[in-house]
Amino acid sequence: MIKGIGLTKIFDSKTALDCINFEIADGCIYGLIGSNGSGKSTLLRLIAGVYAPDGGAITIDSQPIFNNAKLKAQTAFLGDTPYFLPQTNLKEMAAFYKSIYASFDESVYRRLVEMFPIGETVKISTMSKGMQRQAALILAISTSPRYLLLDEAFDGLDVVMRKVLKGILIEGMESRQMTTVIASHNIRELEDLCDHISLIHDGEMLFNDSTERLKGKLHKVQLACAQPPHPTVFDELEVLKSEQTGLLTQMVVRGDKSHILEVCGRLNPLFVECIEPTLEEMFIYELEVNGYDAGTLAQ
Amino acid sequence: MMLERLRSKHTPALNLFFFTLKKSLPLMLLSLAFMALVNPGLLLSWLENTLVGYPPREPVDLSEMTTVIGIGTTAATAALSMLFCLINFSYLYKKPAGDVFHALPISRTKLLLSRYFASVLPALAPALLSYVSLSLVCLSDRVIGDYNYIWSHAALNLGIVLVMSAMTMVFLVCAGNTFSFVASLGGLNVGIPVLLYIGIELCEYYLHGYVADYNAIYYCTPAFFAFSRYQLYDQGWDAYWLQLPWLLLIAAVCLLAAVLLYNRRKSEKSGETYAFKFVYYIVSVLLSIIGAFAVGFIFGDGSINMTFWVFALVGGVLTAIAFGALTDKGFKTVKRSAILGGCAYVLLLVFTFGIILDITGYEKRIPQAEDVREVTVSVPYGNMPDVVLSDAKDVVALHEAVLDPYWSETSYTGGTVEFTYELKSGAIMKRRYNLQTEKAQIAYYKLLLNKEYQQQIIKPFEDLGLDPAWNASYGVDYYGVDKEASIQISKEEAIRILTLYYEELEAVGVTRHLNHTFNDSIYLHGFANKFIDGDTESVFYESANMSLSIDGLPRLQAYIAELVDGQTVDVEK
Repeated sequence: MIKGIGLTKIFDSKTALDCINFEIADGCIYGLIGSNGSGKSTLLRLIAGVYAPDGGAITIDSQPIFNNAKLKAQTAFLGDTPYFLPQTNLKEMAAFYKSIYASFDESVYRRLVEMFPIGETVKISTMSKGMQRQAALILAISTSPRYLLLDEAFDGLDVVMRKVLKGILIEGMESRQMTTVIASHNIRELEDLCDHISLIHDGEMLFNDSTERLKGKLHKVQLACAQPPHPTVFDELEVLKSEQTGLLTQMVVRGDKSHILEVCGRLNPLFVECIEPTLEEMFIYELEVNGYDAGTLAQ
Repeated sequence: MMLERLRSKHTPALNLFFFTLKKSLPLMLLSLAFMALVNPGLLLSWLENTLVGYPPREPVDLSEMTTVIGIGTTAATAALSMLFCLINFSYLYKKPAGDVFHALPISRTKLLLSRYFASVLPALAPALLSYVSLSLVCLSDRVIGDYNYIWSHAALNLGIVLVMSAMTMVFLVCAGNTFSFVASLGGLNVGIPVLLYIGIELCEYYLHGYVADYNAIYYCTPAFFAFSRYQLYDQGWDAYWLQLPWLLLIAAVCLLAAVLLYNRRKSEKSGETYAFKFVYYIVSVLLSIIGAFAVGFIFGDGSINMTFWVFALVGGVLTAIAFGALTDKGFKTVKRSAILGGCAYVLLLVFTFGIILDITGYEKRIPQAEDVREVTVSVPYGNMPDVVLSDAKDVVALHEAVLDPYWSETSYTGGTVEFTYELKSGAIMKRRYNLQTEKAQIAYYKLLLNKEYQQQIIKPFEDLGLDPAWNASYGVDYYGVDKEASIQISKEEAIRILTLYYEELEAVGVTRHLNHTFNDSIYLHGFANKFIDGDTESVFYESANMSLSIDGLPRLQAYIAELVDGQTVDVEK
């Protein structure tokens, strides 16, 4: 299990992560979403042992990660900008990783090379951005890591390759309990993949829960009454956002669905509907509450 | 087979070492071929010259040419190892590269050491082959000398390369980009010796009694220490072997520092100017002090005056701003740079006035005679032997007289005396003074009357040529107002001159400067040599000499005159 307790990271005068607490259970696909500069990549690098925390602790199985070769042998990290040794091709890079990672699986590597349409003997520096990312993914996954850390995993991949990658990650999770942590600002990609999501904004973790529970916590309510309801009737609900268009009331409400419907039911509505928002909508609503929205930024 | 066995145990650090070494192979092979050919090639061309000349020239002396080859090979391999270090650690300066390497399952210590040794080995291998191929050429009978000359150079080469590369590692780890690395490495290794030189010059100018020791510069940085070992050439090839443990120690210390710093280095500093800012501050202040001194010196017309200090401030601040602008690639940090330049100026000011005002009490420090184990009295720039005295009373009295008060004109070209006290505590204290005041000169006269002192002066003349195998000769050069002469004298006559000199000094009580040429002076000298059996070229020699002013010493003047005129005279006491 990956655990962060009071985790803090400071770059010069900027606090990238401010005392966050979280747990990532083994065998899940964990999504880290957040606005630009929120601290997602920093958190991934802390988990990978690339950065040392400035406060608190980050552990895997209760062992600190930084400068811990044994733990890093179980971890594969792929940054947002893949790096390869100069003048090497995929085959040479594979040889390099094979010499470093005892868990490097040649059969997995072979299978992935056949799956992804990139040449093994082509110099990586001559490949496109998307192909370089494929090469990096092949290498990372071939190390058969217990923890796979991906920063902007889908960046540069075409639609087909994204589907392939998702399949590989799910297979890894199912077959050998591989834990994948993906940082991305592209929530739609993560929505149908991740079983756990956390939202980071300005170095703070705004929410951190299973996708199912998260969706159960926030609801989009559409309510039509004979007369527009008085705003105070919804005081007992946690309304994040509310819009009145004629007789139609549209709200984003946090809380139990049955309780929301019960409150709305008291108004004898002509129509009431409570649906789950998408992750993207949840992301936007939560950030709006924290003052990060298009309207505020445009001012 | 061993490689496969090692790999099966899965040692990532060792595998990384081999992987890195493999990547360095092309450049290593190129330098291998070059070095294996150049050095023996040079020797062969020298040999060629010995063969084609008519009459045939002398055989090549190994000891003469190995120094040239050794220094050249050492400089080349040191540069090569530093280049390999820069190439193999360039990942420290790029964030994506740093992410990959620091995410690897290898501890930072092992990561550094594996890449370090993979950088040093490709530089040393060509050097080693070069010395081996040089040895093979030396099988020729046209080459004379001991093979140890080659292998002692090889040992020194090894030590110097390890020092230079280990020192490079410290700066590689501290810097954040290639420019900062080069600036800090060059800045510190050039700046510290220059700063030390300035400090020595200021001390020599302002600190009464200070004896400049430029040897200290050879010990100020690992680079200077390493290459200065070549000055031990005259001590023979075994002197080089004895340096190897010291060089290995320095390399180990530098490497340990690099490891400790690397374990604390933040990955996020890749691409910034410095991972450890203290290096920047040190280099900036160092260069600014030098800049302050240089600008002040130029505009002060070589003197430290008010103009010097005004322009030194300008020079110090401008140097710091320029260095900051180059380092940060812009003028974002002008304020910080100006402050550093100001600090450098203040340091120069404090140091200089500290010397002028003698805040450490250096000038006034005189040891107690009972604390002195022995003292050596020298007369620099004069033809006088050094005298070692166990009783320091008269020397201390002279020292006190010189400082009471000390006065010296910069244009003074008269007598100078130097004391080297070896204290019972083990400390060494060295001082040099002009003997310009009458009080100082009288005190010096009293020292000349010291019996132990006189014995020490006379003894070299007595001992010269005691061994019958030595051919000894004595002479005196006379410099008079109207006459100059050089004559050969006997040992007895030489000793008589000295004895008479001291007797007359005591009798007449005349204050004298030694080594000053007045109207009448002599230069007394003795020389002894011997030849190695059957070899007229190898000569060992010993000598004794001193200059004496004989003004006001009538008996001695008469004796000299008669020696010069070829008559010996018994002089009444």
